Amino acid sequence: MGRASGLAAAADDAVRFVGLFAIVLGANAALSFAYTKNDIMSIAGTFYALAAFAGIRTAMQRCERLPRARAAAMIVVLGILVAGWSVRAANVHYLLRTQAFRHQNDWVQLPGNWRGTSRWPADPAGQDLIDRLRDSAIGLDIPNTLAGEPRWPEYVWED
Amino acid sequence: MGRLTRSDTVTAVVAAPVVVLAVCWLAVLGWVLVDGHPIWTVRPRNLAEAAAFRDGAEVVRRVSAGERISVPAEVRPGFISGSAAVTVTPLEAAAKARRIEIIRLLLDLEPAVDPATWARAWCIEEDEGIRAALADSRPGAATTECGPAEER
Repeated sequence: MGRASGLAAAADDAVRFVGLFAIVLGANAALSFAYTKNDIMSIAGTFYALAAFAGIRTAMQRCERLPRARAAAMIVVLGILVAGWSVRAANVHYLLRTQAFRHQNDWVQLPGNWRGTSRWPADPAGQDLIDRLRDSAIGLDIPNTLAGEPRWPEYVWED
Repeated sequence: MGRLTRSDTVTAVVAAPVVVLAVCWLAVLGWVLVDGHPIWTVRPRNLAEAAAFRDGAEVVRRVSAGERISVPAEVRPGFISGSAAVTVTPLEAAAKARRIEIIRLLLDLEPAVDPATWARAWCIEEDEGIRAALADSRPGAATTECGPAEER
């Protein structure tokens, strides 16, 4: 396969990836319209990776054909973009840890609040399941994200 | 060794931050397995600190291990006090930290709280929600009058 045909195939892939993302984004938005919230678009967010991949790959290929100065500028822009997204991606770990602590505390509190209300299952198997899940959550050694957290994470990542 | 092409440079620039991220992530996970977490390093040293730090699971674990909600212990500075450490009961620590859910948890774990411990928790914080949570489990002999005996 020649260089020109390779680039054409890559361009075709890019169009497909971006098109697929656009379709999933539209479908996801339509399905979740009744409950509009950023998190609800997470399925389309997964497919965003495809569109981002297509965009970055196309930009990298363009770099090879640009004059030297413009190529250098584009490489710098790509570097900043990827570094910024990497810092943002590290937020996943931060967010998962903070959510883990919150959910562990929820498991400590909520079953006690549910007892004696309509939320507490009448079925002994259901009660046993809740008790076992609560015990399991309490047994986990999770860092306390509310005590003594340094200030810098809140400046870098949103909670 | 061959000379770097422009394509190699672009690939390296785009890949390097992601590789650094992956290495850092693995390092953090390894750190967690060996010695806590590099960001969240403060761990409660007693039941009073667990209550002050709003750590419900630690409260349950420590009460299950035999710690009592009426036994005072030191809470490090900056959490429920200014620059000095304070020695308070877990119930007082939860009240001072204004954590209604921790107060309810403590009183649920140890319902037979003694009147003096209850009264000190009542007097350490005047917030209406806190006092309402305490009032639900008030021992019969406990006073709501705050004098020198109830204040530290």
